[in-house]
Order: sequence, then structure tokens, then C-alpha cells
Amino acid sequence: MQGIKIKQEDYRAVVDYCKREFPQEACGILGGVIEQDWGLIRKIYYMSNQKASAESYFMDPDEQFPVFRDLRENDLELISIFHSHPRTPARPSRKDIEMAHYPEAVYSIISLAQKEVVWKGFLIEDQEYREIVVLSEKNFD
Amino acid sequence: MTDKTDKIEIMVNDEKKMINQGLNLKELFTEMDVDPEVAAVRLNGDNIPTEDLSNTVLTAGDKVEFVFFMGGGAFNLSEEEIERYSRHIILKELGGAGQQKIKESSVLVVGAGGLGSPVSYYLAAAGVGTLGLIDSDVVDRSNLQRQILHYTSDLERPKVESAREKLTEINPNVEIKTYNRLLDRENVRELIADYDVIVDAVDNFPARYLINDACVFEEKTLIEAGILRFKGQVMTIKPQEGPCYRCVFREPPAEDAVPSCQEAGVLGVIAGTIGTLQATEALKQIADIGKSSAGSLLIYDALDLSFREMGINRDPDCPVCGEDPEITELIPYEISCSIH
Repeated sequence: MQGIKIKQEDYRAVVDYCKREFPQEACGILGGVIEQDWGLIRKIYYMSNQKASAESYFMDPDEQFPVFRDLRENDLELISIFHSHPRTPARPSRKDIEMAHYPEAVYSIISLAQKEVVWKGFLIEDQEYREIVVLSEKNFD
Repeated sequence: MTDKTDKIEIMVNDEKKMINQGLNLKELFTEMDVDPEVAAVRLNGDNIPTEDLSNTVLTAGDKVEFVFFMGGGAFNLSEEEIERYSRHIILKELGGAGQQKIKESSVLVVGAGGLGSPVSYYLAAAGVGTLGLIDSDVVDRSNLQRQILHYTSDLERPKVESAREKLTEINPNVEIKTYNRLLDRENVRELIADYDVIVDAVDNFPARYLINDACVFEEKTLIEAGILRFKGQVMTIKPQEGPCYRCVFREPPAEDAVPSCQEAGVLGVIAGTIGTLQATEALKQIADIGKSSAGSLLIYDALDLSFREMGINRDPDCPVCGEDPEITELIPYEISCSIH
């Protein structure tokens, strides 16, 4: 996947969610389809952070099962797993890398450390990461 | 009797899958090359704990679902730190994850003298999160030829104070903890307990054996070194995994049997060569990269321009880390000279 595209309204919704959860880390799953090597986001699943922490997150597996079922029922794929870094840059942390068990998914990190929100996407495999493009578009349908 | 080769149909994450009859959940995950330790598993809607996977045999029509855990944490390097450590982060073996390990680590350097100077300079520059320094001495003019933490203007100042200033100047991100005291039997275990890695930068045998024994008792990684004249040696000690100092040198030499640097002299730069090797070994241990010098003694001879690596085995008869140790508590050594 060369990158992900997310509609502007969805982009804003995810960022607003991260801001609402501040100072705790927010997390969620983005479902969609892959077209011409781009992941197109179609659905947002807001997840609770079981850790309720400003420095870590962990999604409740009991919340994950219905999300994956919903993805399958709607012919959607797991495109991205997002979480916020409330006070640190948008780069994968050691914990993020260690817990990246979905090599096909884009790990989105939304940093609220600066005045301007930074959203970056990474593919993480074999303990190494590579940044990919994240595009927010008005409409890509 | 059931033939285990008979096939049955099950569903895995809503996809049909044919498996051998009699297969259990653990075998199913092995077959799918999925690590169940990092996943949550459900069978017909019920959560199955990891420990029950191997005794849960699948039957036709079973519905298996699994999801991998999703989690992580904050990136603990600031933009300033990312720029500062960019030459580390770019190293494939280290990367951002390795730099974070360094930042999360704590190292105690015992001695702020010849070896302690390059060790603490490089560990501070490398971004070790907490750097402890213990030394009870003050700066003497004869130190300045090798103890590069201290300047002429620092004469008569406590070494740990002089060191703190320089190290903070190099990297204000590092928490410097100083102990202006002598290391002794009463305080050593408590002191090292707070640190991940201990660096022995002392120049006397009583302190060297005290630190070795304490690190064995506390199971702390110890980067051991010594220098004299034109030579130096380095050894990484990982208690319970490899040999300790006593496995190689069982007892301290008799007093006056080995001259000190004060008596025999030392080429100042040898402290730099050996100290930087100690710092390198400490960073490798923290980041868990490369070959460790545990189980070997590296000997440097500046006049010959030679490095010699001697393989060392753990001694089962070692008095402190052997199978039936005689030393079960710290020995009260007479530490008559200061550690530097």
C-alpha cells in the first residue's frame, strides 16, 4: 500500500476524537477498501483505551471482535489502526513497534504535541517501520 | 477409532477451512503460522485462554475467531532528541526503538576518574536516561593527564560535582545522579539496585571485588575494566549467564603485589581507549545488539598495538557464582584509597 486516503470530514472526526480523549491516548480502527494500491477509508471505529493512559494504549479484544465481524460483513478491510500521541511526536514508539501484529495495516499516529495536529502513517513489519502517505481529501468517491 | 487424517470443516474468521480431525486450537494456530500469545481467541463465541488452546480439540462446524492485540505507547523522544540522536536513529541495528531503550535505561558508573570520564561522557552524549556517578575524591593535579571530565579550574573540587557540570552541558536531557561517597559493603547493593547496568571504573582491587560480588548477588550486568601502564582489559559480566570476575581472578592479589597507576603509571589515553570500549559495551547491552563481550576478556596492549580476546568459561567452583558458593554475603574489604 502506497498510502491511505481519508475524507476531510472523517479526518476531522478522528482528530476531534483524539483531542476529546486528551491527555489520554485515543485509539481506533479505520476500515475501507484498497484500490490501486491506496487504502480508502470508509468507516471509523472508535475504540476505548483499556489502559486509560497518557503514555500507552491497549484496545479491548472484546471490542475488536465485533469490529472485525462488521468489516467482514460489509466487505471492508482493515486499513489502519490509529492512536494518538498526546504529547510526543508522530513516530512509532518502541511499544508501538513491538505490538504491531498486523503488517498489512497502516499504523496511524496522530500527534497532538504541537499546535498543529500531525497525522502520520507507518507500515511496520519485522520490527522496522516505513512511513507512507496519508492524504486527506474532500471526496475520493 | 478416529482416523486423524479425516478432514473436517471449520470456520476461521468467517472463512471455511478444512483441517485434520483431532486438531486442537494450538495446532491450528501453528498450522496457520499465527502466534496465539499475541492474539485473543474465541471458539463458538467463547473466549479461550492461551493455556487452554492445546487441550481444546476442534470439531466439525466449529467457529474460530481471533484478533491480534492492538496496543502501544507514546514515542518518548522529543523533536530535539530526534535531531540530537539522528546518527543513532539512522543505524538499522539501533533505530528509534534502540534510542528509546537507551533513554529508558539507567547506568551507574563507579568512579569519576580515568575510565569513568570517557564512559560517562559517551553515555551522557548517547542519551542514557539516568546516569549515576559515585566517587568520594576531589580533583588532583595528577588526575588531569587522563581524567578528562575535570579541568584545571576544577582542582580540589569534588569529582562528582565537576563531572555533573560537564555532563549536563553535553546533554541536559540526561538525569545525572551523583554520590559523593565511598562505595562500601553497607551501601553497594542498595546503590546498584536502582540501575540496569553497572560500569566498574575503579582502580583498586577491593572495590573491584566488592562490585563484582554485589552485581552477582543483585544479578546486575557489570562492565568491568582495568588499566595499567600501556595496557587495559575489558570484560562484560552477566551474572548467571557467563563468568564473573572471580571466575577468572578468584581472589584479590596480595597488597603491594600489583602496583597501582600511582606507582606504576598509566598512559592517559589508555583510559580513553578502554573507557570508550566500556561505554560501547554498556550501550550494546542496553539496546540488546551485537555480540557481547560476556564470556571473554579483551586485552589491549598499546605498545604492541594489539587486541587479544580470551574466551572464558564460567567456573562451577567460583566462590561467588559457582554451584556451591562460599561467599554468600559481601566481604568487608579495606578500601583505603579513593576510587578513580
